[in-house]
Amino acid sequence: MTGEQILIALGSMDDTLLELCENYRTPRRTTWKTLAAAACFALALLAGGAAALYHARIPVRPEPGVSQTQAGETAAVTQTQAEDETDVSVIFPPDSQIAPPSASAEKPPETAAATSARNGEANLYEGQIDGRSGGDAADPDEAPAQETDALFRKAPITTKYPSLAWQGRTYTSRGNSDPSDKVQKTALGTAELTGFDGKHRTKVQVYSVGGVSQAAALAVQFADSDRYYTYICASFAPATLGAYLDAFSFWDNAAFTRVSGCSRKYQATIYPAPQTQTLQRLFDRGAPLANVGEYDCPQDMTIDCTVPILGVRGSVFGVSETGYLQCRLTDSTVIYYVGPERAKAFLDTVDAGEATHLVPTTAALPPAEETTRSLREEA
Amino acid sequence: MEDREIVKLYWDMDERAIGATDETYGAYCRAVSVRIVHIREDAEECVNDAYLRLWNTIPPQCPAFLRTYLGRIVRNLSLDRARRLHAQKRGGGELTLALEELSECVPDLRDVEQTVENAELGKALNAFAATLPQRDAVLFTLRYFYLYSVQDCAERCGMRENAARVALHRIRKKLRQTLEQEDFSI
Repeated sequence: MTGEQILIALGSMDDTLLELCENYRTPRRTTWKTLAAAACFALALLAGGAAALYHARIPVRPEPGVSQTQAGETAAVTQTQAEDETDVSVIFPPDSQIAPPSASAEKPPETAAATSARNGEANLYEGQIDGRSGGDAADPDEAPAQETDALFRKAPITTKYPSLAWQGRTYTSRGNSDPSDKVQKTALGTAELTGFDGKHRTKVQVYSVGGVSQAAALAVQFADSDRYYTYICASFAPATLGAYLDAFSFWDNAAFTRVSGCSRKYQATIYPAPQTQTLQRLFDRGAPLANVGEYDCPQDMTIDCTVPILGVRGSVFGVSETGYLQCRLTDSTVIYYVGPERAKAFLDTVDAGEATHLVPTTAALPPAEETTRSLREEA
Repeated sequence: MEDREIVKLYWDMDERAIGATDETYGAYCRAVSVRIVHIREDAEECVNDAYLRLWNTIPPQCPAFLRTYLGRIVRNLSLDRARRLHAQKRGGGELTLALEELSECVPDLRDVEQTVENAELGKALNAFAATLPQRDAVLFTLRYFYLYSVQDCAERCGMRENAARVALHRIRKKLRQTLEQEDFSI
C-alpha cells in the first residue's frame, strides 16, 4: 500500500466529519500580549498590597494635637486591614472549626509541570508533546461539540439517525422513501436508534415491507410520526442477480425512465427508456456476483429508474462493455457479471435508438412531486 | 440559497441548479481545487467537472450537507488531475499515454479488486478518524483530505505550527499501527 492509495481512500471520509471541519472554530486563544498585561496587573496589585503592609508596620508618630493613644489605635486599625488582605490565617486560626476558603480540601493536586515550573525547571517540550499550545485558554473540544449539536438539530430525521441494527444486520436510512402503501400491519418489534452524534437515542417501530425481503430492507416509524421510512441493508449482496432483484420485488416496484451515456463513446447522450424485453435480456437472472464496493468506472451507460418504496431515483444501474452490471439499489454498489455479449447487445440496441436530446430536461422524467413533498415535509 | 433549495432544483432537473451551486459554493470549490492542482485554469475545469458529476448523481443521491458532498467531488477530481499532471511531468507525455492505453488491456476485475480494497481502506480510515479526539480528527482531515498546509491547519485549529506538526506526526504513527493491526500491508 502506498501513501497515494491512502490519499485516494481518504476521498470517502465521513460527511459528518467533513462538515465538522468546515464549521470548526478555533478555540479562543489568549495572546502573549494579554498574558503580559495580566502579569503586569497582578504585579501592580502585589506591589500595592506590599506597600500597604509596609506602611502599616511603620511606627506612627503622634502628630501635633493628636494623643499617643489615638495614634496607636489608628496604626492598629491600618495594620489589621492590611493583614485582612494578605493573611487569612489571622481570621481563621489553625484550631478554628471553620476552614478558610483557600484551605479547602478540594484543592487540585499540583501537576508535574507546575512542580517543575515552581522548581525553576523549564519544560522545553511543553505544548509540543501533548499537542497543546501554551496560549490555549478554552477547552478546544467545547466549540466542536456545540457545532455537532447545531448540525444535529438542523438535520432531517433520517440523517439524524442514519442506521438501524436489526437481527445482526445494519440498515441505512433512505430519507426520500415512501413505503407507506406496502408496510405490513404488524410491527416486527422495537429498535433503538443512535444519532450520528452518538448522544441522542430514539425508539422506533420496525415493520417489514410487502414483497421485500427483510434481509434487504425494512420500514421504520419514528415516535410521534405517521410517516414510514425505508432502511436498506447496505451489505445486501446475494449470489445472483435474480436473487438481488427478487429480494426487492424489483419488477413490481420499479419504473424505468431513461438511459444516459457516460463513457467517452456515449457521453452526454440521453436515450429514452428501453423496452422491457431489452432490459430483461440484459438482466440475466443467473449472473453471478462479481464484487461489492464503490466502482465508479468504467461504465458506458447508466439506466435510470425510480423505486419509490426504497427512495431510489436516478441512475441505479451501470453497464460496461466488458460485461459488468453495477446495481445501486442499496448504499453499496453490487456488481454482477452478465458477460460482454449481453452488455454489448444492450448498449448497441439502446444506441441504435434515437437519442432524445443532449441536455437533460424535465421532459424525459416523471413528475417529482413525491420527492418535492418528502423534502418539504423533512424541512 | 439554502442547500435544501439547491438540492431540490437538482431533483427537479432544473438547470438553474448549476448556477445556484456556483453562486453559493463556487469560490469554496475553486479554493479546494487550487490547493491541489495549483493552476487556476485546471482548477476551473475540475470545478466544472464537479458540477457535471453533481448533476449526474443527484438524484438518486440526496446529500444532507451539499457543501461537503461537493467538496469531496472537487477534491477527488482535482487529485486525479494532479496525478495525471504529475505523471506527465515525470515520465513525458508519450510514455504516460502509452501506459494509460496499455492499462485499458488489464482485465477489469483487477480494477474491481483494487476499488474494493480502496473501499475497505476508506472504511478503516473513517473508523480511525472516529477514534481520534475531535481536534486531532479535524487536523487530520484538513491536512490529508483538504490538503491544507501545516501552517493553515495549525491556524484553523488554534495551534502553533510546531505543535500541529508534532500532533500530525503522532496521528500518522497511530494510523500506521491501526492499519497494521487491520492487515493492510504498508
